[in-house]
Amino acid sequence: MALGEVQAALARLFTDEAARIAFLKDPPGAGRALGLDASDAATLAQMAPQALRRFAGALQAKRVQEARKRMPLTAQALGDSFAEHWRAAAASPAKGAGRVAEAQALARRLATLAKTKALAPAWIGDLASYEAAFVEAAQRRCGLRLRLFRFPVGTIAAPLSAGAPVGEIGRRLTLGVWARWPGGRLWHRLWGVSVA
Amino acid sequence: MSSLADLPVLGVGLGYRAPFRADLFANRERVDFLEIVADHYFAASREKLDELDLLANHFTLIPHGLDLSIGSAEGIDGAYLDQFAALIERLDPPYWSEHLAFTRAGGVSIGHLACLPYTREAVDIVVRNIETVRRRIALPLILENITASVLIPGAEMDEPEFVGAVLEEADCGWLCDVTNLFTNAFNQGLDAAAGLDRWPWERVVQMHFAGGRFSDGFLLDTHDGLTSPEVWRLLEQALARSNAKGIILERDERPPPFDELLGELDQARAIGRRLGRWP
Repeated sequence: MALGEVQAALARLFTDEAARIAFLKDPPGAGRALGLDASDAATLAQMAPQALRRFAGALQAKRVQEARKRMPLTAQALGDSFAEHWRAAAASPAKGAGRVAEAQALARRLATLAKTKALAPAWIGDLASYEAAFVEAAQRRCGLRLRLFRFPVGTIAAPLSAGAPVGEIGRRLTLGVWARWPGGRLWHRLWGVSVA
Repeated sequence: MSSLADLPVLGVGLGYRAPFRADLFANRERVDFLEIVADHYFAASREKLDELDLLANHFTLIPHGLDLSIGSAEGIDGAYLDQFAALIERLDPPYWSEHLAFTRAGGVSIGHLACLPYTREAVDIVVRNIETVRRRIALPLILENITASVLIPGAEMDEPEFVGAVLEEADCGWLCDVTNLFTNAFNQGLDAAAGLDRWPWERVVQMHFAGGRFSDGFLLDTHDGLTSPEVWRLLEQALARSNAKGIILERDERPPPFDELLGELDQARAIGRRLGRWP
């Protein structure tokens, strides 16, 4: 068994829904398509389909749960549909994708859907982007990040943080700044931006 | 082996999770030590490091890694290892722990612990990776047996033989997760107690126990409930066979009133006392 190639194939099967579906339809063929030689593809084809589905499902549930913790306000605003949107955004993770990439992918998806009015409220993409910026800032030992939002994300976040419903929110350009000196605490502010 | 035997007795502790913090300090005398998830403190903010220092001032901390991927054929991620080494330097623990698993391959981060094939090749790769790790971190490393949710075909041995071979050939300690032992045996239709003699008890340094839950007749290692009577029995049998220095209760989801956790710690402590493992 060429362990490196087998592990790479397994990693794809565990995390990539399209690869998994192909494998469950034609295990040896999909194994070859994942880069295995005929012998290893035949061996891997013996993997119990139910166990693979169960593990992939548990893995996805765990990742959704962790994403909920990292983006609690977005999760609260979306309710049960958070998991569905997260799955759609993270179905085929890019190489090396981590929590920052997942948060950003979810924010991009929600922003796109909100812009085309396929998803309400209109500010949901901005809220996700706001929380994704915190996820990113938490991963950086130092640096300066600027984000421009179409909606007043602070006004949206405040009631959500208190578990209260968000009232009518109009557009207002808002600038977010995240800064950290090397080894220092995270500093963050939001400003409303007036456009002349 | 002698260095494992010389490790200090730690007693019974808890896997640290931030929601427990206030209760933990209010019940300081009932928690002997803490296990922290090392990954939570890599490239950490000042706030997280302050929290870590606060914990370190009051408890012995054992760093427990999630993503070293000790079984990856492509080797160890040097940047990850450097972060672990820096954390260990900061904490100066008696030992550190990881999982006997792989979490990354082919540029994909799985995000969870995946089972290794129980093969000679996998044993050799883990041993090689441990040698790499030891060149960077000299402190004793102990490895945890994981929940084998999906078994990889092509096995040349079973799990006890695989774990035993890795620990023996790498001269490593064992973090025996009793709940995982029970979970794997149950899901594979085996009797965990009947197979106990096949595990490398002489290598146990620490134990884990936790509650799980059933889903469609399958037992999941969810760390979200009370420890089952079966796991308590197995813990006692395992502790009787080993010279564990410490036991950690893991509770990650659905945090209960802290008294419930303290009750489980007291129960584990009483078992250890009865067996003469600690005062």
